[in-house]
Amino acid sequence: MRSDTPELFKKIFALSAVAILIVGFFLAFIEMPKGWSVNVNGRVSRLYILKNVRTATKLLDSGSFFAKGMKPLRTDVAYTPIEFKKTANLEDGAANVVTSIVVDYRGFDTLGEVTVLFLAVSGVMMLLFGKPRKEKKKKTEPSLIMYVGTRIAFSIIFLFGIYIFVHGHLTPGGGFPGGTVIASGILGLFLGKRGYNPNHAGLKSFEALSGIAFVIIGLIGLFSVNSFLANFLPTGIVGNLYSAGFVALIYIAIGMKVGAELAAMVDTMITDTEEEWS
Amino acid sequence: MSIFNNAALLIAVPLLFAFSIPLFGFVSKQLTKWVALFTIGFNATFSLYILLAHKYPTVVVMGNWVPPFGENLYIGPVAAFLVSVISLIGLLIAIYNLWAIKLGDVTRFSVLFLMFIAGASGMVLTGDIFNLFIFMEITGVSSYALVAYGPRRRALGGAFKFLVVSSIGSTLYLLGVMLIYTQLGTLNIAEIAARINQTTPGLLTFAGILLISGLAVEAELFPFNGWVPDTYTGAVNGISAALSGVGAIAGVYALFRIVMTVLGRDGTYVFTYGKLDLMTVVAILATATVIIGELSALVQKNVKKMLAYSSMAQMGLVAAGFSIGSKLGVYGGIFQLVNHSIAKSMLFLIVGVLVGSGLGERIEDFKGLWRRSPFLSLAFTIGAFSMLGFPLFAGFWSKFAIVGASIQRGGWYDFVIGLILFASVVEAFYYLRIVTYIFSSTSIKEPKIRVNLSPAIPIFILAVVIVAIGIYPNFIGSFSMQSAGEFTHKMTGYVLNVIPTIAAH
Repeated sequence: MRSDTPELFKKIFALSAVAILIVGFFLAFIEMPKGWSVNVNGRVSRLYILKNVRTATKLLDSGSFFAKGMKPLRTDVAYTPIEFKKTANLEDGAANVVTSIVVDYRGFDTLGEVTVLFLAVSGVMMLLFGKPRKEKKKKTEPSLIMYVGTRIAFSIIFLFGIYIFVHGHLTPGGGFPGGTVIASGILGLFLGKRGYNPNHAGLKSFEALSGIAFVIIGLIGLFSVNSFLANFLPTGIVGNLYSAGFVALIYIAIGMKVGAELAAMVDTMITDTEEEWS
Repeated sequence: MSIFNNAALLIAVPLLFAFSIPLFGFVSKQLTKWVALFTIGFNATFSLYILLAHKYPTVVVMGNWVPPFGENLYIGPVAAFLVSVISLIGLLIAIYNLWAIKLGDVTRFSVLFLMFIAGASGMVLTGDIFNLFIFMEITGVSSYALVAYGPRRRALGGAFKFLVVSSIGSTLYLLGVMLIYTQLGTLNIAEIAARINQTTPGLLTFAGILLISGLAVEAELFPFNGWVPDTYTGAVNGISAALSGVGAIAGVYALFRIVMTVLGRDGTYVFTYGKLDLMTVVAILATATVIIGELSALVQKNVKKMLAYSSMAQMGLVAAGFSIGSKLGVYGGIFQLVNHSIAKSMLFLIVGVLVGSGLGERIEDFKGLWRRSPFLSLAFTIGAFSMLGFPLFAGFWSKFAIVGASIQRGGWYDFVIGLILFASVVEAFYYLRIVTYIFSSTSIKEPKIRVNLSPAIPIFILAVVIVAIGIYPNFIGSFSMQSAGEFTHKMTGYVLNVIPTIAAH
């Protein structure tokens, strides 16, 4: 490894990063009003955060926290509570609120996050690119239990991963966790059998196609609703599998992409290559 | 608020093709470079259309949630101008890459290069501080990997250092975003800008320092620029050109979008809200960067390392110009930013051609270059003259504007500009040293250097552009002046164009 940066630079950088945090926290602390109460002249006091959890629990129990001073934003429309499996045609329609924020309201950020993961995996693959080494390093052969066990577990893990990303709009989870679960199943196959070789072209094209699907879903929004990544499908009834419009479609694309991508990365990292520059 | 949602294609098309490049890789590895070239070409055409047909200022609504409720891109004069510059320079470097990148994993290289340019465009386009973070990550992650590309993995150390520093920077930036979000409950730049004085001043100052230190990593300001020399020296020359020509534009833009639009207070000179004037902090950092960068560049024997330190110093000069806070100062800053990108990327491409034809990277290797390749020698001289601000070259006009603006401001900026002018003398010394070496003759008869068409086109175009700007500065200057207005008048220039109904507080 080359190192051309003067030692002084590194020290100054490290010191300034630490100093910024310490001085900043100190500044913020002395700026806040003294005392324990929630509201001092419209601002949160210094030590409120310390008793926050206890007080908040108490307030929640007595029901006084949310009731006090809360007014509905609009008075011209009658307030109708949302009922599971009954209410239809909501603004977003996903039963899992986190998903509706991640995929619908801030879907553009999620597209960016998928790209970040894709680029990180591409970078790792580019750095480890090369011919597989001829003489293999000696490794211990996995035991019979491992061999049989991973095979049985794989199908269950795979099914579970698919379940997580298909139900992303209903239950906690979604594309990223689901894809990771699938990739962990494939990692099990690698551990269970020496020389396990997945279909590289298949993985690559699967990954590429699911990525393209995400962007095309966005483009359909652009050409049908005139806004990139807009929800162009009816949102349906809250809690049904077929609800929340395009959220489920996007999570399926993300899940397949993340699964294929991480599996390909595991494959790249396990295969022993030598650098090829030809 | 005018809405032009089709401009989302500036981000969507590069993403679509980046995902599909592995499929093109099945056909041929060399084809992928052409795919990247044409995609960046599409971006360049579309952004030039927006700039020249005067489609700005306009808002691009994402997901049909109008700002401030959802995410949006904002294409003002700054974004329209800088995206055009970014994609044009990216296009020229992509043409150079057709010749330079032949070995190794070309498919992944094309993916990463395409996304590096698209990420930088996204940083300039976005109107949301968290989305800015995402695009910073896209630009960052692709550049770590691109830097490490090359024979014998020469820049692995530099890439690792860049990864660590940049990750720390991103984390600090995210902390700053979090603090602002706890105060105002929004991530939209326009809404934060309008309501920034509702925050607690101490927390706001802390958030501002965190945001500045996070963004200063990409904007190459001292003390967050330790990654610059290793990375630029080790990377292949096309990537060094892209880092200094494209990455630096996005970094400086993001820094001053946050400091001037988000935290700033309008006036003849822009100051920031909070306990501390962050424009002053940036001015101090910028001056330190200029002096340290130029003095370090002076002692270098390796041309690439010299250019790297010079790039650092030029970013300091740009930041100093912006931090004056007047319209003339910001005009000089943007103009200098563009001039630096054009000249520095050309210089790196020339070094790339020379290294490709067997010449070394040391300064002595440039001796007698005039005899061996008049074209490259002239182009290098034009670039060097523009860098040091020689009259009738592009760099002169921007440096002149920065000096004029700081004299107009007076006060302690006289001191800043004194130090910067001293550093410019140092800069003139080391650039003219190379130019002298180029035109000095050697007794040994050496063969001529043949320059292929694909690297010659970008070098020629960039050299012509430098001379053209030098003779007719209004060509870039008028766009820079419009852009300066967007930075110095945040309510009329930015906020009201995004959310027309918002009231200033």
